[in-house]
Amino acid sequence: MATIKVQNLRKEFITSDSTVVALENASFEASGHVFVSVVGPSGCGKSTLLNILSGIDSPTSGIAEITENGRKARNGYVFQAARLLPWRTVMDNLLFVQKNRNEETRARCQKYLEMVNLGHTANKYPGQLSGGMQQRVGIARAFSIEPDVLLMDEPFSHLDAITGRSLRKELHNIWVETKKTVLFVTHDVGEAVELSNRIVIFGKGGKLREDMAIDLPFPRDPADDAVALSKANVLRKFEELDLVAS
Amino acid sequence: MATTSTTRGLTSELQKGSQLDQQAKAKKRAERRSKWIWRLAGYAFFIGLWQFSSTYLVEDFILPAPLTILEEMREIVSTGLLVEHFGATLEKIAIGFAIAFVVGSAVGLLMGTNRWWEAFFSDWVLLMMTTPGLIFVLVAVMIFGLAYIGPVVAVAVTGFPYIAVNLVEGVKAAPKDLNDMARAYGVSRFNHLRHVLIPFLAPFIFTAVRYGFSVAWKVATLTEVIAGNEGIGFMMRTEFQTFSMAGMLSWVLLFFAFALFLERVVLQRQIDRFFRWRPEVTA
Amino acid sequence: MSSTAAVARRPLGLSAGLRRFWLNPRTARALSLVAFVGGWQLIIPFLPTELIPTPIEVGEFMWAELRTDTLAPQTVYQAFATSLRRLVTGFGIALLIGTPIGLLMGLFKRVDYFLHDFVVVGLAMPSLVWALLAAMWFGFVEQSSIITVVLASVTFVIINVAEGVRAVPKDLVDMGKAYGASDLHRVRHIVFPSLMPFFFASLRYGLANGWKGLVLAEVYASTSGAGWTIRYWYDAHRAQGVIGYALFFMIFALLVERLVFGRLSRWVFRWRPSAGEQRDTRPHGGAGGDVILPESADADS
Repeated sequence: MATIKVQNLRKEFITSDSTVVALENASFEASGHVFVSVVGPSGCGKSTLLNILSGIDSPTSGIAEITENGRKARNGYVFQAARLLPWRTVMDNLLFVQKNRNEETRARCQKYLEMVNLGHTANKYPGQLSGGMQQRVGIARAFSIEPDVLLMDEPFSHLDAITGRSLRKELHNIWVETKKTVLFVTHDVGEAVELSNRIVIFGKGGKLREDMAIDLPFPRDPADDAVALSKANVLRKFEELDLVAS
Repeated sequence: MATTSTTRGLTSELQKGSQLDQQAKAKKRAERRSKWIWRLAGYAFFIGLWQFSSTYLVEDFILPAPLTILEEMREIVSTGLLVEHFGATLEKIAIGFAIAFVVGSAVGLLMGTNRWWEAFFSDWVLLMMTTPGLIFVLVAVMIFGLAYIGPVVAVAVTGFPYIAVNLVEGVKAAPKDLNDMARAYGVSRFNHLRHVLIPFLAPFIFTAVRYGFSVAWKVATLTEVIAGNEGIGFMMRTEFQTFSMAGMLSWVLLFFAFALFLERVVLQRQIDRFFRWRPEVTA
Repeated sequence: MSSTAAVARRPLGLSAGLRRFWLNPRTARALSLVAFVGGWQLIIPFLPTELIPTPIEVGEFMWAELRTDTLAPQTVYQAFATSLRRLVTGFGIALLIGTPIGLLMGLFKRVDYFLHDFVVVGLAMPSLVWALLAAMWFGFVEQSSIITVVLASVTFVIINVAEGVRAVPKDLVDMGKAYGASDLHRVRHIVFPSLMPFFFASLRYGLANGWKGLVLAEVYASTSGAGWTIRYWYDAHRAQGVIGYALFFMIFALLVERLVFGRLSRWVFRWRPSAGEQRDTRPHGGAGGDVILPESADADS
């Protein structure tokens, strides 16, 4: 069972004329089969949080770690833009992040490609795929390493509404089936409410403002009243916390 | 279940589609034809201007007629002088350039990834790029005299900064998003180098090779002009000293044809093969 | 840097200061100068000739030259001034000729097809050839040098202006049209600034090539200037002179680069966000650290 632990996390960036605080003293924990969304306005440090948890960046102070039964966890990361190597085929892109390239690994990668309905594109180059397809490859890649935790940074924000909707469904099904821990960053409150059972709200300047549970049953239809109500609640919370406007 | 009207609609859509397609193709052909016409017009104009000038405007030794040059060139080729001297120059270029490439890439990578080394080398690389090749040639000649190693060193020294600079540019343009992705997935250093950095750097390396090579030609020729006893440059100097404009121009043109051949045929083939993953940019 | 339990470390005492001195980029630059002079001194006994002077001998020569105590017909200041004058004149003419041609090539495809191959040839032509041709055509006069500069740099001007015209961002121009900006206004605020990088490229490459051609022209067809003076020393078999002047050339290039290009491009491009402005505060000092490759040692810790 994987555990995400963030404790007194602080991150500063130094520019030529000032110091920007991207994260200010954030603390929260999540473990097990849970889908946690991190929401907030732009500049609230959501992406920074993911970068630190994944090892791309390091904190100025504090603790940010993901463990699986005591040892360091394996993370799958899905980015806003697919970040595929344009000069390698789809299959090679998946193989790139594996520990080895034997037959067994190849078969596993093919399986995950098929799970996102892209099994037939294994030998194509990313330039030959649409944006939505590239994003699905990115998701397949993240799952193909069979990670303990999935980190996702606004993975559907660059897609059109229809593709986004079907991908959200796919993601949900995969999450239910594989029982992973998912940390999902988004600016879209509706998306967060549709997918997660817990929402963490960050405010400007990287302050963690609220940690709330979403207790509706799955699967959730965005057109459903209960879901809409929940979304309205969260938005009201935003106003309460004075995160809206200016 | 498509109704007949929908089928008709579909068919006319398909027809319209193929009509547009045909129009696009026809346009492309017309464009290509225009390109060739104007290109040939350019050549015709140039040769005509040349012929006119050499016949009426200036004396023959200042600007020989095109035919004279052609005749001279034919003689050079047929007497085997071409192969002999080109071969000599080419050899020096190859060795000198190989050295420039190896050292330049190493330094370029070092400079691009490490700020301390960048500070260490940057002044020198800049200086070596802006100093006229003549200087290096003179010093090389002073040190090595007429020996073979002189041009090789001159080529290596002048080519090196171009390679280094282009590689530094490449490393600095490093795709942060792909690097971060590789880092987030804990990819090994070796695989990162092999699958991310090197393919990414390929275009920069090709530019480096292009520039470095063109500089190599010039410097090798210059060394031969100043103090050589064989090679293209040497022949050019001989013709210059005997005031044989026809001879010198012939050698210059032959030099060109050869350099173009190397660039177009050899280098371009490699470049095309390397970049077949690029999505086609359709007009 | 491992993401597990990263805690800020405080800098240590004296040894940290010393470490920071060595890791400072300015030290690196000074060190490279030391390495060069030292390497030079050390390599002399290994060279196949006895003619190469020591750094000190060259230093003495250069110092004398700077005090205008010289055997050459021109002092170092006069020589470089002459050359600079020719360069600027020649390049000015190249700009006058090249800009309209480049504009035509960029705007009209037909002109481009007509001239394209000649531009390619012009770009690849060694400046040596221009120098020799000019020498043969015009002889030992001032014009040879200037014309060499024109020939050597005009194609760079042409191609960069053409590229610049082609690269004008159409969406910005359309935006201007949509907001009803007049043609002149559009040219001034959209076309012109977006041409700037190309104009700079043309300046840089054109001047560099023009300079190389000029030096050669001065060697073969002149009786004054920096190129001619270095030949003077070469003919006189005075290695201090040749190497000393070589160093003067390098200093000249550095001065031009720093004073002219550095300042100018910083002013023209002041709207650009500098690359790498955001530096993050890692707990460890990192002047010597790798910036690009992943520190994969941490992946398994």
